Amino acid sequence: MSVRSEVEVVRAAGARLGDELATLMPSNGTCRVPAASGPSARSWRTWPSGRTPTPT
Amino acid sequence: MAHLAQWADAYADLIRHALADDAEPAPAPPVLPYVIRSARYAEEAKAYRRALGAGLLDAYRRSQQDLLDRFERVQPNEWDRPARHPSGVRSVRALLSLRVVELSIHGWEIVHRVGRPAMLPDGRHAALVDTLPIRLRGSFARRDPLPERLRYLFVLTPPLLRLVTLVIYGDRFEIDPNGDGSADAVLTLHPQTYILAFTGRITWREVLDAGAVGVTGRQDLAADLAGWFPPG
Repeated sequence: MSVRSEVEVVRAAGARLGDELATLMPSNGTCRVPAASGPSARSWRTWPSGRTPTPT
Repeated sequence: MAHLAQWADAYADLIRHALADDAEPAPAPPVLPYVIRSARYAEEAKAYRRALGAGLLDAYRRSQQDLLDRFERVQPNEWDRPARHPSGVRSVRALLSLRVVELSIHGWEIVHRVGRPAMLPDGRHAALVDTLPIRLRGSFARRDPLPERLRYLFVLTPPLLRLVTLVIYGDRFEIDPNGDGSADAVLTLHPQTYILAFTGRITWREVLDAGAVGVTGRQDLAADLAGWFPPG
């Protein structure tokens, strides 16, 4: 990836996170975390194909 | 977010020093084990978060913009200039890649922590896999030399399609993000799973229990990864 492209990745990813924070944080500076969140509600198994990879 | 804001400022500072004409050559800073550094960063971020209060979003956006401005001003012949990153001396170019890593991993973490499905963007897997050795060097749990080295081959599935070789000698390891060849254990997994497990966002136990990795060869070696690279 070129330097220019990588700077653009930083710009886009940074802006997205800023937007994310803006939705989570009301004006008093406290983050709103949905009640259902936490370890039990977590799902990290989110790969695009949705299936377990097969050994090759 | 406070950590990201704090480190945007720190990176901007590192770049400013690296590009300063009158910068005096200095010895590389001592590199502390990752587990110590990460605990320190977490404490610093908490203190910064408390200090910022309702100003967190503004501080984050301001620091991110300052860092972008700094990157924008780097000239083509300056990207290889050395900067004193806490993980060792890195080029300014490497700082750019590390910022991509920071935003990707912590971005994933924030979305994940609020209970939404989180994905690392496909286009960033390569940068994350390529910079992972820096992190692993800081988190490796050194032991006595092994009588026989352990050789892992990670087969990363689409969208990245990459072979990564990891060889553990006990007192050291070598990792090649563009590896090949035979191995004692072959682990086939999605690049996101590989990245999140090696950065300690999920455990190898979770990955194995979920069947998110296919293992051929020595099954025990897959479970041992958590011992060699404990999460920070």
